[in-house]
Amino acid sequence: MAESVSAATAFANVFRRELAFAWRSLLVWLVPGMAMIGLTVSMQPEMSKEGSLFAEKLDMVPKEILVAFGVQGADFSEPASYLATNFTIYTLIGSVFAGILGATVLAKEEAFGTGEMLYTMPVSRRTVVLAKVAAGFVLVELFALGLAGAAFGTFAAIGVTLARPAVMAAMFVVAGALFAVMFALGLLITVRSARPRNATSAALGLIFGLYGLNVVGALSESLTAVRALSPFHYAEAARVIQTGGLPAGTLVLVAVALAAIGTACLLFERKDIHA
Amino acid sequence: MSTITLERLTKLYPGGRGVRDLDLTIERGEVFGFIGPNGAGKSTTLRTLLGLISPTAGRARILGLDARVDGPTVRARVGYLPSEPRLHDGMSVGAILAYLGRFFTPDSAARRRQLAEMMELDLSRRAEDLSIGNKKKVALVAALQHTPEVLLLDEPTSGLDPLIQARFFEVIQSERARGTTVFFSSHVMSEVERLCDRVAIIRDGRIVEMARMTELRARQFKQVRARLDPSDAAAELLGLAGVRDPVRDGERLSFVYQGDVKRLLGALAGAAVVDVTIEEPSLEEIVLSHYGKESRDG
Repeated sequence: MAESVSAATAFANVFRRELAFAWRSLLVWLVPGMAMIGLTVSMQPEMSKEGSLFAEKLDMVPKEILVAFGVQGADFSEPASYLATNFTIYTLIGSVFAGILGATVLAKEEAFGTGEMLYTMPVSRRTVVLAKVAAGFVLVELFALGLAGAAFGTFAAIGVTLARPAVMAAMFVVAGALFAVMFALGLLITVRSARPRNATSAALGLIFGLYGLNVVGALSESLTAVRALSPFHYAEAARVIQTGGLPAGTLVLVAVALAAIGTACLLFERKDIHA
Repeated sequence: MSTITLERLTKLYPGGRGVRDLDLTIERGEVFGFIGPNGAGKSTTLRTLLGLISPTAGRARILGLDARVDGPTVRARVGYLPSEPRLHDGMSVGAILAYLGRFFTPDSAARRRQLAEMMELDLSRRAEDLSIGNKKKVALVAALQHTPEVLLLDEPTSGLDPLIQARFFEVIQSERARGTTVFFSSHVMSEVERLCDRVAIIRDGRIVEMARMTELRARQFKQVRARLDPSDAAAELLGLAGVRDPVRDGERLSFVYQGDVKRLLGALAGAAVVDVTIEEPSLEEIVLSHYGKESRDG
């Protein structure tokens, strides 16, 4: 008589399958991201020479705008600080990748009807969800790692010595935490949905909404408090540069990701699977 | 101990659809048919048994275990064939079956290969290239590869060509011989008739009839076709209680009879009968008569 395998074996089975399914998607997002960051970094020596010119121009921009777009305190002569001024775009790209991944990781099984076979296997839904979440986390952290590799690698290739490599590494660690939050929020807002197209739209709306919240909060003094609601606020590279390491907000990001995953698990365990 | 037990199982959806107060027991080794039109509640019942959906009230038990609470333990001993199986695109048939097989121990690779051969499945083909019938064959192998004690089959032969249907019947017969309990939903009467020991008829989410196949036929009507001497009006025969829908066409007379067979034979003996055939109704006729009766009652 057949028996169910252990939860750990079932977890590994789903985990491997998820990684095998999603690695192409990772490459589709990561390769352009790495190319962009490599290109940006390769321009640092030139930008450093013309730093004073850019600094003068940035001084003319209102401080609120600089804060809103994360370019306050720009110092193009220092590699980490230079990268920080461009970092928002990478956190946004990574967030979109992570959010879509989170939004579709469960929804696609139901929408494509494959869930009917998966969830009739002798494994608890919690194990399936945790395996999928673990695979998703690995992928979004690989995205952050890939960007970091491209940045560090390009600086090394062009012969730039990093004065504060740990600070630059911290920027990618915080970005990784932000991606984990976006993955978890994508999962949470779509856990009751069974349509991946809707799920993707909902995730994109959430991500750009949260990003907009951070920008709007920086532009108006009366709205400053709303920035606290945006995960982007805790992941600003400028904050890492100012702190000289991991800011306390990183813990907020980790806590939000864990809370969202826990809630998604509870909701999914109670969900009726129809297809 | 019964293999499958439903105790006042109820699952209601907005708009009033679903199943209500289903009571059912299926014994070990039985092949049980669940008959009804689309939307009657067959799939809802099967999905509740698998823990895919939670009942609004009542309980579903398999092998003495609660389908929802003991889900993984139950499902290790159950094979399930969905009515419209969907497979992971981008994977080969062999990879899909191996992936699903890895949820069970011991390894079922040998049986998987044997079943795939029996169903003439090409394990190297990719899921997205398969026809509906071939996808169904893959799902059937997936349902059987871990040698389950209970098989839950939802419209098992829909989409299968006649040759594969015949294979499917062979597989089910061999599972029955092995002592596997089979619970399958269908609206294809011929397969239910061919395979089942007992059937339940479900209508609008309620079980309206449950009986052994033999009982169902015996207590239901007979189709009588007689050839009579044209001069015989057959008044006594047609006046017999239980005769309905008579059609007279020259020497030919046909009618439906529901009642004591001895009285029917007596009436036939008194008529100028040249030839007669008395047939058991097909399951389809029984179900249709049941639905007709319900409609008339309703």
